[in-house]
Amino acid sequence: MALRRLAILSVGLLAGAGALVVSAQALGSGTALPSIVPSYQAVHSIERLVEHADRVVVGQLGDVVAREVDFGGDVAASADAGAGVPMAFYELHVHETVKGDARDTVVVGMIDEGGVNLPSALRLTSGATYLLFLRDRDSESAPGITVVEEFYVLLWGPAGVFDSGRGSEEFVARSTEVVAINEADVAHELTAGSASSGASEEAELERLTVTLDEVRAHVGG
Amino acid sequence: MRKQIAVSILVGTLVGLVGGALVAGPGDAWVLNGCKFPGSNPQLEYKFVSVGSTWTDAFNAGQQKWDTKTPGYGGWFTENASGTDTEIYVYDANYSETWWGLAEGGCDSGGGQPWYNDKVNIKFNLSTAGSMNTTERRLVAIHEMGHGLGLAHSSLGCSDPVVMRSDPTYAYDNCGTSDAPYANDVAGVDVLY
Repeated sequence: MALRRLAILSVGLLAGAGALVVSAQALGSGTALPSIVPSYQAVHSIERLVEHADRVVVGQLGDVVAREVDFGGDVAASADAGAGVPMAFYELHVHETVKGDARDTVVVGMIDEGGVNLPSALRLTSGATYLLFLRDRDSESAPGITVVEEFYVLLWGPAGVFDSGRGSEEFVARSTEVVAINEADVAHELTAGSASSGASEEAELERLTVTLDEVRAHVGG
Repeated sequence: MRKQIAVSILVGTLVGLVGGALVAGPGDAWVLNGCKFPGSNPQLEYKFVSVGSTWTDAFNAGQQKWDTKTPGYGGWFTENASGTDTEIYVYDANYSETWWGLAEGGCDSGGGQPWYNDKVNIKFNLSTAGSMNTTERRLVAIHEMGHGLGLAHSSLGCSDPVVMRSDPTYAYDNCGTSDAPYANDVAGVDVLY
């Protein structure tokens, strides 16, 4: 545990210095976790997120209810363990449904950080409250998953995650790619942002803050 | 006094060198990933373990672009279809997440450490490939190979385009260029190797 804390501290210090350091950290057992660095389509506005999300909710992330390695439903590929991507499925206790039919609880699947090191933008914490833009998945759209029948994934990774802000109605974008409320403002915001951006994705760049009213305004509009 | 200045310069240089190894300065499009292949001019064999034609074509186009844009290395990538000890293993499948592609591997912490077993997995997602054109898929492949070489994500925009932005197609979509890897991606590789 001490080694793990030290490893996490090391990553934090390096990230704080402006470097994105993604490397497996040695754990107590002497084994090492691989790092996974995914790339996603970028989305730059709340308007577009709302448009493409199947469900938009505010909710508190619960515990992991299932884990499974996603082989993409390809039997041939699953013969080689290297093909898989470890997934963890969390209960999400829904406080408010902004888009989609109202439910008290949904299941959200993410790359399992219990098995790999992930970029910090993709790490969610059980017990924390988030505004999430989600895409639905079932056996047809996610043929590699069998432990849960219906679940959701983050829409375009970190773009679909907003952390709690100062009040219960305010949320802060995880992704620095989300720069505007309205799609019409994206070009201007991207130009302004690129002039001041640094090299590291995880450097302290300005992140978009939104209110739930600004999100609701694009639902059904 | 001269001695003090000399000591200051020496200390400053050392700090700069150590800092430069960990932190990319303003204007640099690259950030060290922490893991790389060993040596200054590694010859990397790749194997399509389970890949359909869509992503095979993208990967082949991407590796040719890397080789063309970094001629000083004499070509990084060679396919080894039967090998069991290749450096890059390539997969595709209908993964449930919404990512386009990913690179996977591990190394000791500290920056610039060799990939464990000199091995990196690159995985492409068939479930998102259908919404991409040929150019976009090539850019994703170039991006994932950049991770394999040791580059991490960057946030630079059109003034200094990079394929290593978390969205590999950013420059293509917003800056009118798809000729990746771009100058700063290459500069990053030159620092690493």
